[in-house]
Amino acid sequence: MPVHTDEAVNASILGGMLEGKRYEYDPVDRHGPTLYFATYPLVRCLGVHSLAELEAWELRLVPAVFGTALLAALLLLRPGLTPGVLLATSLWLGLGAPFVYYGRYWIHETLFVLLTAMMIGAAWRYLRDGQRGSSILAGASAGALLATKETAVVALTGAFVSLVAVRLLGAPLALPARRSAARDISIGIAAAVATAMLLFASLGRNPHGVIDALESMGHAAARAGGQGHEKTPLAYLQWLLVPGIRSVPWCGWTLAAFGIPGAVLAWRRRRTDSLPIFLLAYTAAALCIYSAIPYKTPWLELNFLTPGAVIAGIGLSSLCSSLAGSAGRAASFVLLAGLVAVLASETRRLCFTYPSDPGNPLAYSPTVHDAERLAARVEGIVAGTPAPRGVVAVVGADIWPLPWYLRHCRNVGYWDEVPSSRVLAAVVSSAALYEKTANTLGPGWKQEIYGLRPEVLVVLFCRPDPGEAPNTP
Amino acid sequence: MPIQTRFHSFASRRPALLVTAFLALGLLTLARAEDLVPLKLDLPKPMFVGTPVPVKLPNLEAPRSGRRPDFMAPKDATNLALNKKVTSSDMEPVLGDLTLITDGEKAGDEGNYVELGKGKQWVQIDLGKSSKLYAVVVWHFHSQARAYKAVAVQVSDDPEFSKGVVTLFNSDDQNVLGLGKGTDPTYIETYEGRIIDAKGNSARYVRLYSAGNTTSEMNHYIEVEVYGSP
Repeated sequence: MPVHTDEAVNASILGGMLEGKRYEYDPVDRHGPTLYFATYPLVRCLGVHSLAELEAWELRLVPAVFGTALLAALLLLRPGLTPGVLLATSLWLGLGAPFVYYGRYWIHETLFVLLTAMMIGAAWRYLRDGQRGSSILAGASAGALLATKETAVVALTGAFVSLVAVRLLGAPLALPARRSAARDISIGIAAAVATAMLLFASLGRNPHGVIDALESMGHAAARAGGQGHEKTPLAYLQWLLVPGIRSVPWCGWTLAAFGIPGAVLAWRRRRTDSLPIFLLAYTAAALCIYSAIPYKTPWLELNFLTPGAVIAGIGLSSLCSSLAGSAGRAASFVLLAGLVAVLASETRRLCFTYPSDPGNPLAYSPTVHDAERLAARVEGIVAGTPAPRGVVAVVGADIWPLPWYLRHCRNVGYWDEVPSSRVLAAVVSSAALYEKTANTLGPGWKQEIYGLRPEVLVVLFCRPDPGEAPNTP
Repeated sequence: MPIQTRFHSFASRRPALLVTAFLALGLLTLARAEDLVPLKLDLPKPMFVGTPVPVKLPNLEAPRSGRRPDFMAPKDATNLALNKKVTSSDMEPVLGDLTLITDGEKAGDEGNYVELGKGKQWVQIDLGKSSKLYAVVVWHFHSQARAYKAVAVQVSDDPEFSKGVVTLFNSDDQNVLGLGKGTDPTYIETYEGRIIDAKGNSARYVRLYSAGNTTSEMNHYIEVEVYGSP
């Protein structure tokens, strides 16, 4: 799967850290620092010291670890959920196309979902057992969540609203009857604040990062308005439930099919069992909030699909449990085998056969394979140019993820226009600057079109081979 | 006697005959030119349905202002490919079927195009009999700004394309197809399609190649029209 633009941007930040540049939180255009701090030690252990040495698989190990850890984090809910429910839930988390797809993207979302699960799971444990450690874990997870993405506000709001809702519905939810409960909660909140401040301040090396974090909320609010990513309120449901040209949306359909009986059960047991009704309320709250926000990207689905998978797990588990006797066990086996088959079939098509296809509902502005061909072509040009080689000039604004793909080339520079003071081996121009670039370079160049993302094209200007005619206008 | 001397000798002896011959030739040429009319194409609705792209690199050719220049073809030129049989290197397309290529429907919506597998692929139209051809017009895909790689168009009377092959268009500058390096420009697909001059070659079969595009490794065809004398 080609490296997505967001992964490339993240990689350039991590590359700077690997090359000795101090990380400083950027409140305007970037998410929080957690992803970089989590990845940095791993890639250093793999012997990586610069952006040029990084490989995509090394970065993508990190979300794969987070995805696996999400399964483990569900164990925090074990007192409230049976092993059967957890196993059923893990079918979707382990095989569902959105989980597998974004479990390979080195972006903030899988870490965000993991931290949300840890926060809710630890808070739930605290409410059950009153252990101070659970309170601290919940607080630290919330702090890390805040330092991961601005959408932490959505997760925290959703959790709070759900808590109030289930309390009003009569769920048996109460603080531990201990005198130290207020102190435990205060310690938990302190853990959250301390964790967030420590991370935003780059572990103490950039104290101003804490102020920047407060400032980021204004930028995040503006971004929520859309900024080119506006979608209708039904976009998530369409992505999840409407069949596309590349696959049947089995993950969305089966979550809905088993989620409905799971929701009914959670509702019926609301006065005796608070966790299922809380997770149902959280799923609904997250879906409603994310649907109401104009800014939408498909990976945000994970935020309501994850608790939704638990609700579906309750439905599937209870259905299998209700099928008694040998015939019932056989029927359960057939049901589970069928579920595995359809989930795997969708995942194979969307995650492995068509990962960057425009018809893939999970592929949002994906990098296309042509970008890899362009990088190989540029490397070939550089290798075939006699010394002194001159530079490869990349001009224009919309050129991501080229900095990732051209990371091995030493003489690459990025400009707003063709640099006049440089000897040029090749020029990669954005479509927007094509005419200006062509006019500046003049005749004698050969041009080739490449795609970076669907509908984002660039033109490579290179010298024609001997005997080959230039094709400049 | 040298040829030039023979001509002078003929001209001095039969001036009236010579004038008549030149006049006849001129009239014939004039009549031929009058037969040529702009090729009328039934164009589909423009539909870059995605994000508008600031693409000002129409075909990597000198940017064109205004409408496309008329392509002149004889008055009797008709689309010989309509509803004709299509074969392909990928006889089990990923999406759609090969009949879509000559069904006359050029809209860019889903369901109107055929998708062939990854990499180098071709489609071939059997016109039924050898005919004089003037233009091949191809619409690969026009609901997104994209360019197809290594586009080549050949005609022949041999269904195997092993003899009597004439290449009308070849943008394969890296010789991916193995047909030889092409020098024709890569171009961005639009609803107007691409008119390729068939230069009056006579052939029964038309074969079109491509090797993926700037968005995916797949190959697509909405419609191919072949204009010639019936």
